Amino acid sequence: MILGSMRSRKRLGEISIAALLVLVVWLIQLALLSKFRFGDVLCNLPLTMIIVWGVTFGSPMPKPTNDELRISTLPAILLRQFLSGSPSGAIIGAFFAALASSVIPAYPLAYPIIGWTAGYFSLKNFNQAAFLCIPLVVLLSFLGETIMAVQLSIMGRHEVFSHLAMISVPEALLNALIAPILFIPMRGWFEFSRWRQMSTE
Amino acid sequence: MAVRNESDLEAQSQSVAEYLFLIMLVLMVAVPISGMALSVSSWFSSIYAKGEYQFVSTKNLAEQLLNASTRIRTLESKLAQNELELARLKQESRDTNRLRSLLGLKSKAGRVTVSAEVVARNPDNWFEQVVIDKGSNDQITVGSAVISIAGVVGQVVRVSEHDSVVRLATDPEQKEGVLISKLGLTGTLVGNNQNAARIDYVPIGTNVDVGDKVVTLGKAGIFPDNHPVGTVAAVRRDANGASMQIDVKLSENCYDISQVLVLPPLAN
Repeated sequence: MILGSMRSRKRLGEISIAALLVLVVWLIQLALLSKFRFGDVLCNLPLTMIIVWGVTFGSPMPKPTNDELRISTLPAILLRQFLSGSPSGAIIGAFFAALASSVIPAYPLAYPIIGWTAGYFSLKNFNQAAFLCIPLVVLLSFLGETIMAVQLSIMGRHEVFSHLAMISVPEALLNALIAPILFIPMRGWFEFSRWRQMSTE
Repeated sequence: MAVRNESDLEAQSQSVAEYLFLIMLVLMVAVPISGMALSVSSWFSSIYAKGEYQFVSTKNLAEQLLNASTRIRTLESKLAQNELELARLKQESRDTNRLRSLLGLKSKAGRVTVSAEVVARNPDNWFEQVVIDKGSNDQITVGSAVISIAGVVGQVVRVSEHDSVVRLATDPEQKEGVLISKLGLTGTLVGNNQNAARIDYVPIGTNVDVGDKVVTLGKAGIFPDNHPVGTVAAVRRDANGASMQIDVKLSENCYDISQVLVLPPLAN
């Protein structure tokens, strides 16, 4: 009972920190970064944070053993791969999307999708992961903007794909520039919480 | 008796000679030594005086340097403060001028107007929107026109109690009726993100020139009549070749706006 309440208190603390982080990032983007345009393009701090979150915390699913892989069928392996996204990344993405829909006339579905997808490329066990997160942020930012373009195109917005061609690459590069600034402290937080968990166990 | 006198005399003269010799010897030795001592003491005293002078002057110089550097530091901080104050005053003067112009525009508009301040901008690269600090509590409704002294800014698309979202004239979804005043030609202006806005479907052969003024039409009761929108930047045939397309450079820089005037739509 005490252990359960301690665990739930710890979880509640982590959720509070995450919510605070999301709000701070949102305010920075809205009030500060939206004032600075680099070649008419804004960098997207919320999308970068979603990607970095996804690649840092990854999937809670355990890695399959060689024996498990040997006896699994291809559809089972693909299903397992499909399900091994980052739920926390998707939740953070959904949170940011809800905030975004208060100022833009669409709910950016790309945010939770990208949060989940980032979990496929988990950098939990990589050395020099700060460098690896840069190409991942470029790739996933580009993917996120493409999903957004498809969504807006379905919603009937004009000239979406010509605009995508104009903004996607510079935005992805700008996001990649700020990615290590988010990734390094977030990985530190992740490692600290893992160490604390191991020390309490 | 005489012998004794002679021997006394001799002894006396010998002792006098000895004294004289001693005195001369003393004089011969003491005079150069005293001269040397005098010169050495004067040499030392001159060196000491020089050293003391150097020390005192160096000390004075150091004090002066220290005072000067303190003074420079004080003046520098004063200068920085003055520069900040100047920048603040310049900003305030700009704001005052802008507000004064808005006030003039407000009295000229002859309808309900609400002055508002831009507080945020949309966080992505897809939409061209800003958030202003006035909402339904200030009589702002969806569809209200948003203008500035320089030109058209956009239209309110979402209202809450204390703030509103404005879709800027640069957004591709934003359309408004405009007039090229020189020709009396009307058209629909469509935003085009960071590029110049467009007027589509202009009949071929229309005599539009680069630099012609574009103003609001004001027939729908949303935007006021004849408010500046921009100038013609380019004229060309569209992709089909069936009509012309006019690029319009907006007179308001939608990426750098702070104070705006909101005009709720007229009832009829």
